[in-house]
Parts: sequence; structure tokens; C-alpha cells
Amino acid sequence: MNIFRAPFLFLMIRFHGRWTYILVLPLLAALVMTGLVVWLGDKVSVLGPSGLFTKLLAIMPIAGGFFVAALTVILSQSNSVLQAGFVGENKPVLENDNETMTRQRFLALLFGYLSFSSFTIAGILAGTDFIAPAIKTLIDPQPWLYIKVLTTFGVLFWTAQMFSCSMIGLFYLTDRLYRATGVAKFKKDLPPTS
Amino acid sequence: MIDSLERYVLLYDLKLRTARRDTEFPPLEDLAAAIKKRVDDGESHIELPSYEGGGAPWLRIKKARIDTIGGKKYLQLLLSVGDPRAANPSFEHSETGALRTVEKLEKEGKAATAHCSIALQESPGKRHRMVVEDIRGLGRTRIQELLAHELKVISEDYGLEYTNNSGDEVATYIIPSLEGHRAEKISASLGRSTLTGVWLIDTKTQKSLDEVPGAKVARREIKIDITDKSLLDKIAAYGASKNFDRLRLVWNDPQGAGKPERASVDLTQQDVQDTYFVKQYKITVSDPLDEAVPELRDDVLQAMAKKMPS
Repeated sequence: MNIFRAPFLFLMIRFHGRWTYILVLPLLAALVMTGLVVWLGDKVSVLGPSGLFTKLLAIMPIAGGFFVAALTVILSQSNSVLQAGFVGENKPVLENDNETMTRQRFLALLFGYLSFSSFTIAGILAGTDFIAPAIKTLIDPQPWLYIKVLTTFGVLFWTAQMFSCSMIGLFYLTDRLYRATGVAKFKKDLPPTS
Repeated sequence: MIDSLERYVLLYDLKLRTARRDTEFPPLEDLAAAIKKRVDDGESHIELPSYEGGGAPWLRIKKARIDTIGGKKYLQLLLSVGDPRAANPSFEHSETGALRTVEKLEKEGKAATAHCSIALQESPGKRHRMVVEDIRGLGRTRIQELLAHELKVISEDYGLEYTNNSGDEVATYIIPSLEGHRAEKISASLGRSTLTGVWLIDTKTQKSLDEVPGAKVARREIKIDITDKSLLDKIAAYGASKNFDRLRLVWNDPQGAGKPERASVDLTQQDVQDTYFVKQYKITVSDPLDEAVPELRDDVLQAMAKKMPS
């Protein structure tokens, strides 16, 4: 079961601003965007060749490719800064995990989740675009509207969360990894404690 | 006068950081042995600025040891202050009224010692729980100054360094700060207490004393009598608007240690009711405790360990 659990490990890491980045901001963004889609009604389409899902479907494999490439680079680097642990008061912690949370591991889990998300969303979008027109003919307009709004909200939430988490990754790659580890050490040995 | 069988202790949090913020450094448990070595070698003392007319008081860590009490490790320190300007202590016979004064010898100063217990286990935020005997002359500022000196010398002697963003090794040192342990908020204690004093203090006054050329006001302080504790927030707002920067409170808490509780609130940064104050407790010992002792007393340390917050 670890194979299926691994992509979600990033969501289990406790770090400063975790709920803001993975829940609050994506939720707000999804609510606003879904509201806009509902408000615009027939003026915009969710399904079909020029629909929202098709547009997102065009982006997802590209994003997925970028995330996999970033994951490969992160894991193949032997940079000491990358392999150092975190410092400060709000270190990321993965509970019930015996591995040291290095910057490399944090980024690997982050980009692993992002890769999984982009390909899964692409799959959902492709599947929905394929099956939805057939389902539409089978059910009443009112339930169809609810399903459409809920699906749109779900996809937009996950996409917004992917964007938010990508910003964390980019923050680390563009800013944090340049900085030194921030660990001070004594050059000489301190007297033994005993 | 200091009681020989009862002492008050104060709860603090010793917070450690380096001169460069957000830098991680070895734990206090590792540093404790270096502090002990300096104390054992008799190197742990500082001289304070001298008074006008000569004679500078000094601070010293007389004894240090690392103890385990109840499965927890503590750095036990015996802090002392020596003051050459202090008056000689005198004793009076209860029946004859005859006085016996003990005169200081050359290079001696009136001494007082305070036991200090620091938990080596780290609490969140690089904090260590700390209990200190409340002794006049060994207050928060002086203890902080003494510990800062020790940690700076240890940082320099053992070469504490970090690598900066350019890859250069840069020396740094550890800075301690003593903060009141967050045991109870002023509002909670005041709720059941009698407020006995409220002062507004302006410590940064720039006013000059026009009537006396060459003199200037160094501190402005007004005492306010209030019967209704709910007026405190209004007084704090008034003080802030009139450039007072501190609000000092004294109150008698029926659940307190038997001595008035005190707090000084920074009006520019803190909300009066929401501020935590330095909690004090009374401890008792069976054998009389002198004003200054040469060795750490186990009974005092045991009593202090019972007051140590978790």
C-alpha cells in the first residue's frame, strides 16, 4: 500500500502555513472561479473542444513533465545545501517517520505530489470530457447542473492547490536553496557532558 | 531583609539565539559542560560599571553542576553578587541592644547568592525553563548579563562559526534572553486580586528642566489610584497617547506567594491584560540559609525543582 500512499506524504508534512497553502488559498480560488463559471452560465463552456477542461488538459501534461524533471534534478544532486536539514522554529515534520527531513526530501515529496496531481488531474479531465456528454443525456438537467458545478469545483480546487504548492517549490528552488544552511558549529570540541 | 528559612523564586524562560538570527547551534546540554568548566576554573565573573566615588560591584557564578532530578537534567548554578559600596551588616542583641558590625576587609564586598536551576531539556522555541531565587542585586538584567558574558566567551573560545551565503566561515556567538515564563496572564491574576498600585512611566523622556539650566528630565512617572480594575485598558491607552512607554502594576493575589505580584508592561508592544507576568513562588528550607552560601544547597535545589514548569 506504500506505493499508493507515497504521493500523498507531502500533504502529511507539518510546516509553517501548511493549511493556508494546501487548503485555504486553493479553496478561496476554487470558490471564486467556480462562482464565475456559474455566474457566466452558458457564456462559457466547461466541456467540449473550447471548454475549461480541455484548456486545463492541455496544460497538465506539460506541468507534469516539468515536475518530473524537477524531481529528477533534485534527487540527482549531491549539493550539501540540498542535503542539509531544516533550521529554525517551524521546521517541516513528517510524523511517524524516522527519516531526517532534509531539504532534498521535502522537495522530493513536494514534486512527487505535484507530478502525481498533474497526471491525475489530466486523467480526470480526459475521462470527464469523454464520458460527461453521454451522462448528460441520461439524467435530468437539475442534477446534471449540481454534478457539473461540483466536478468543476473539485478540478479547480485541485488545480489551484497544485499552483499554490508549485509556488512553495519555486520559492525553495529560487530562494531558499541559495542560502546557507544556517547551522553554527564549534570548531573545537566542547568538554564532555558527563 | 532576606528570610533564612523562606525564599521566593521566579520562573523564567531562558531563550537562546545567535547574533545571526535563524541559525541553529549546539544544544544547551552540550554548552553546560563548558559553563561548568569555566566556573570550576574560577573564570566565570564580570565586573559591573563602577559607582561614582569608586568601587565596582561584580557578578560571579560560584558553583555549577549538572544534576538529574526526577529523570530530568538541570544545570544548577550558584550566582553571586559582591558590592564593595554596600553598608557593613550589623547585628543587634535583643536584650542589651549592643551592636556588632562585621566590617568588610580590603577587596571584599557585601555578598548575596542566588540558586539558579536551568532545565537542559529544550522547550519549543529554543527555550529552557529556569527557576531563580529572587534576590535583590541579582535581578533579571544582571543574570542575563552574566549568562551573556559566559556564552559569548564560550562561543569565542571554542570557535562558534557558521557558513554564510557566500560560503565564508563567520564567527558568531550565543545570546541569552530571560523572559517571564508564560505561566499566567495579568488579567487572570488581577481578576481575583486587589490592585494596589498603577504607575505610568516615560523612560525615554526628552523634556528639559527649564528652571534649572543644564538639568534634564531622565524619567517621568505618575502614580494613579483606581478602584475599578476595568479602567486599566483606558489608563494604558491614555498613557500611550501621552508618550508613556511602560505601565507598572502591583497587586496582591490571594493565591500568590504572599508577596505582592509585580509586572511592567511595554505599552508600545503589549496589551496590558494579555501580558504574562513573571510568576513567583515561595519555597521553604529546614536549615537556615545565609544571605550568601559557598556551595549549592541540595534542599534548595530540590524545592526549586518542584516549582519548575514542565
